[in-house]
Amino acid sequence: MTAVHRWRFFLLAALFPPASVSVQAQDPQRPIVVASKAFAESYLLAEVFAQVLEADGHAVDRRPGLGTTEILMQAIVGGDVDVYPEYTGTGLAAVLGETATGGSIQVFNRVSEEFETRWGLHWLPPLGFENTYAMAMRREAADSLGIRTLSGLAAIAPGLAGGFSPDFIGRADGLDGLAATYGIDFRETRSLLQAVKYQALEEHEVDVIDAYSTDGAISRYDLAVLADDLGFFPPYDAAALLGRTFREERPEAVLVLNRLSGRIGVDAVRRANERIEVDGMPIAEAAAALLAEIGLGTGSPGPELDAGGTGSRGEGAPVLLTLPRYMWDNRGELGRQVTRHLLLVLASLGAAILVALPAGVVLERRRVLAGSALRVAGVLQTIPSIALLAFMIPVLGIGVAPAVAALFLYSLLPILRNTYTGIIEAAPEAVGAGRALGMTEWQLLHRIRLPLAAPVIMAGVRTAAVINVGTATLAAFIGAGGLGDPIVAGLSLTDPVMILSGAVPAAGLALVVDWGLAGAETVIAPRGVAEGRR
Amino acid sequence: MALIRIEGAEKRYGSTVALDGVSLRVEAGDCLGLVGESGSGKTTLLRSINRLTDLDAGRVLVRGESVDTLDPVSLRRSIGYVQQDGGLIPHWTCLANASLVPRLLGRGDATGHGRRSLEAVGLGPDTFADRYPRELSGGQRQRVAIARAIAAGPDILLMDEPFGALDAITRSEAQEAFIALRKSEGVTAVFVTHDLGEAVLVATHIAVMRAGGVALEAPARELADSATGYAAELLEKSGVAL
Repeated sequence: MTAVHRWRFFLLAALFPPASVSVQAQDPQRPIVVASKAFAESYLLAEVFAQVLEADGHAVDRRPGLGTTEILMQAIVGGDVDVYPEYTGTGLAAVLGETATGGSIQVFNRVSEEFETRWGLHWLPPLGFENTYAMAMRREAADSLGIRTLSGLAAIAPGLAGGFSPDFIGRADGLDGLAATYGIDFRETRSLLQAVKYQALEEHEVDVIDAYSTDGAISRYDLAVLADDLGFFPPYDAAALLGRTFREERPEAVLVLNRLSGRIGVDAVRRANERIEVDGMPIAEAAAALLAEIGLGTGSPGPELDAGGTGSRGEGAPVLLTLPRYMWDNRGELGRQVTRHLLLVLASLGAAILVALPAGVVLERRRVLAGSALRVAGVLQTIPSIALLAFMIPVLGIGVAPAVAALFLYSLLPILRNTYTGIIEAAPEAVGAGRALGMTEWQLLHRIRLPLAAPVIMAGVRTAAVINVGTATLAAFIGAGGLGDPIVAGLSLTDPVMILSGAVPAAGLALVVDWGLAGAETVIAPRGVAEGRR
Repeated sequence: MALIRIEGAEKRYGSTVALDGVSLRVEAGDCLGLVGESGSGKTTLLRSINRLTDLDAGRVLVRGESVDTLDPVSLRRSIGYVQQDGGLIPHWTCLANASLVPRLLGRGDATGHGRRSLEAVGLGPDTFADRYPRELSGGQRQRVAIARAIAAGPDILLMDEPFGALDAITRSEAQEAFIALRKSEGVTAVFVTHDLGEAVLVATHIAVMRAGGVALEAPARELADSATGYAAELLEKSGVAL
């Protein structure tokens, strides 16, 4: 697994050199892009970075919850991200594919050296706390089985079910290495998102999960953490990872971030995580509180990183009651997300119409090509959305461009296919008679075939639009924003209300778009045939 | 001078021979009935006259000029054409359909031409002008198709089994209307049908086609005298008494 992982990463890095570096280098005043992975502590640290930068007068572009280690590495190597919080152990095992030899300092020195040589990336000195993986069980289960250590777990693992985040299952420093080191062999291994992992454990769906040692949920659910008695997990010191151009061009900003080094202790982080995960405090506020505690307070938390606006956890009221309230409280942010979502859909759909409509017309005249063209578009359609989005990153960076490109590719097939068949099926006998009476091919196309095919083509556009509204929620994973933002944030914060505050408007939007385009279909249908074709 | 002259027309589709050296003439004012079974080449021959089909060998002269030298689009606009299924443009009204060719030719009063030709096929423009094809009966639709073919006043009319899909009563009405129309407009016509009875009724001359060649050619009235061989078989099949 290690080798495959590393190989894949280098392949991508080698194939797609950073395209946007030169563009960004020309503008020294551009906002600093601060990104994070999609879990609470990463959001928190990125927000901490953002707030200290802003306090010093730097403009910041927040890209929270951008994705997995692989996606963030691609983005920072490509110059699309300037800084994000990373862990030394992750850099060592997941990126370099090496195993730890030595303690925190050795690991830090190792990743510093290698990241610098290979990609020009720079690790600032660690923030001051470690957040390692921890295997956690229900306390009463651990007690009754008498397990305290991972070696102890190995003895009874064949009777237990494990639930782990997909990231952990796939990583070199994750499940495979753990199983090999301790000889752990679970009866069953399930891939569980952060959002459901703790609940699954509490409801006895699984017996062991992976957690972070600074996790607020460990105390919330009163879990037993098993000791890593063979020292499998490398040191995971949190630190700011800096992009090459950022470090070279903005030394004053780097100095500001450097002030955080060694200042954030494990207690402060655990408290902040608890506030976010247990109390539902907005991330911006938790970050401001953390900064205040360590004497770097600014008193002006930026609001944007918390994708859903204010935190949603109330006093345990049912979701259906708190959701409307929550959505109303965040209507401003939600409105912006809906607008952005619609823009993503409209831009990709518009581009797809501009390409697929003429292409469909051309294919009708070159029917030999039609089969293969439709097959290619069909294959594009079958690529899983999240894979296609991730694949766009090395090519187009992060943000709106790769999202629009991916959505564009998804829209091609329905429009292309419907244009092609719509034109072929548009009253061939009338086309024959028109030609026999001296209509030119262009006249046949724009006076007979296109008007008659219009409802069919519109139906294709409608299909593409509805697919796009749904798929665009995934665009949040690559920093494009939209209604996926609260969904992604909610998933990583285990906050169903926040998830629904993105999902419900997205579903509503799909219905509205469908309904609107159905209306357009009726309007565009030529008179005289409308009823006949329905 | 013959208005249409076909000399040694040959056409094959792959290994199938559609036309095997056909020569025919149609004098101005005549109506040639092309009779034959499916695959006899009659429709291919008809379509070669307005260049919907290009010949492999031989040539077609219209008004004394070889059609190969003419622009197909303007050639087609100068010749009326009616096909079996009418081929009316479904999202256009009857009047818009009937006015098509005058409009293509850029004539000033295109709809005036359309109205007059609807009148000529017995469809009162006040009633039918604004109707859509799907609101008409099969017979009415074929009449609109004929109106469309003659609206620009062409001297030649090509008809490909124009009444083939109509029921018996409607069909005989349509035949009568066509005969009357041809007399009043004095148009030269080529009329493809598989029904010899119909051909004898509407045409002045008849060419019976078989396997890509002309098996028999005669004025309609004299056909009874030549009633031998394949023509006799066809005559017998059609059940017509001459």
